[in-house]
Amino acid sequence: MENNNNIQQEQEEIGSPVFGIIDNSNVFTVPEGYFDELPVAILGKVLEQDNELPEGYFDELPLKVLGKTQNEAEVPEGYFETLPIEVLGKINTLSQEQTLPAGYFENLSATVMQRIKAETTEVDVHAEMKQLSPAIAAIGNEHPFTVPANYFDNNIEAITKKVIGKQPAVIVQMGTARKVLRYAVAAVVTGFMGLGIYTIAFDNTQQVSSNSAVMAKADNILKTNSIDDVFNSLTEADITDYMTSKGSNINAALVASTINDADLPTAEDYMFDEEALNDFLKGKNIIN
Amino acid sequence: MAEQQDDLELLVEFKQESTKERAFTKIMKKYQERLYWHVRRMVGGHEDANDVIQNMFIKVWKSLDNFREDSQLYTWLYRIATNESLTHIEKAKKRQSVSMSDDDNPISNSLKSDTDYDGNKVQWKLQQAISTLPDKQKAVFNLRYFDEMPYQEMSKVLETSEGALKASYHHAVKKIEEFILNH
Repeated sequence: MENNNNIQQEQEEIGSPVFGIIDNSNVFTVPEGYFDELPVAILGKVLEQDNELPEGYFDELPLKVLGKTQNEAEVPEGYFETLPIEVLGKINTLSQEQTLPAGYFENLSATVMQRIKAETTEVDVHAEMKQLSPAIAAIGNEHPFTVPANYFDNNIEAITKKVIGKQPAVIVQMGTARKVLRYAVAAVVTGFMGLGIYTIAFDNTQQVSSNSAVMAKADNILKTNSIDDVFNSLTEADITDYMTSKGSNINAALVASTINDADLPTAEDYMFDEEALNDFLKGKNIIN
Repeated sequence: MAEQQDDLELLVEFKQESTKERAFTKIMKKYQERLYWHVRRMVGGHEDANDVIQNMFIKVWKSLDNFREDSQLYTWLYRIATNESLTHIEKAKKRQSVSMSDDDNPISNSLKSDTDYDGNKVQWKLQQAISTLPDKQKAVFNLRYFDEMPYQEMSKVLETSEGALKASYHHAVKKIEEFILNH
């Protein structure tokens, strides 16, 4: 009502005397119960529209469905002609994907072992530290210590002197040692000992002497191509016996340890020239 | 596995009088470097490490005949090296207490007296932090972090369960981290 009064007051203020005397009451009417029935009527209309099908819908439906099915079953032009090529192409691609890199099986065990090692040790330690303390992990596990030059070489000598009271045993690669010793024993077997070449290798007080008889025998071995037979006939026991008889295995090992296979004179070299090994040993400063 | 086979061959050689010395020299050549670094990280200075490693190998020479081949040679060597280091540290501590020194950490002193020592470098700071750990925990940390030894093998070296070693290592890491962040 207050609102009504305000409007009337406003009209009066506007200065229209007509509105001042006519109030704003409603002159229209609706059928009785209209507003009660209105929601039901609207809802019914909405539902009716939603469910309504276009006229002739069911008559056209089978045709529409059939049409759709036919469209879907259609294949592009030339499909079946190109299909085998496409399938073969796909098979080839798959085969290529299944091709293994060269040496796959040779390297497989090493790769697997590497991964196992990495997963069980190294990576674990670093990954573990990263998780426990990123600060320490960032420092890494390199230590800052140093040792005097040649410490580890000298240490073996120092310890050996302490425990055994003498120089450490010389360790040589058996491949090289065996090769030299085989030549040495071959010399014994073929009579080369007469030349004293190998004695010089182990005892540098003796001198090389010529021995035509031995040279003749060596020459014969070469001519009959039996040098390999002589070498191959040597056993570990022959070598050991020879070295034992010379009583100087440490020196022999020393000789062997100072030379490379590639530097060795060939068997033929000192079969023909008794000075060859002697020169070789001089070159290596093993004898004077 | 190959290393274990080699070790078995070395042990066979060592047990024969004619090849004993050669086998011993081979064992030293093979293991001295990694054992030295383990000892060095334990005791700090080179002179101390040198004493320990020499005493250790003398013990190995004397007792290798009695080595039981059911364990690995290298874990046995690590055990002797660790025990020798711990004994050396104990002796150094006793000497320090007799001399009434204020600083009761001989390892820290040893580190600082190294000619290469640089307190500003993080690697030295890490070593200083490790020197504050109890001695056995120091061995646990060093074996794990520097030697990258699996817990299973550490368990054989230190004769402690894997679980206890893991716990000890984790505590050590926390202590070291705290030291580094506060110094």
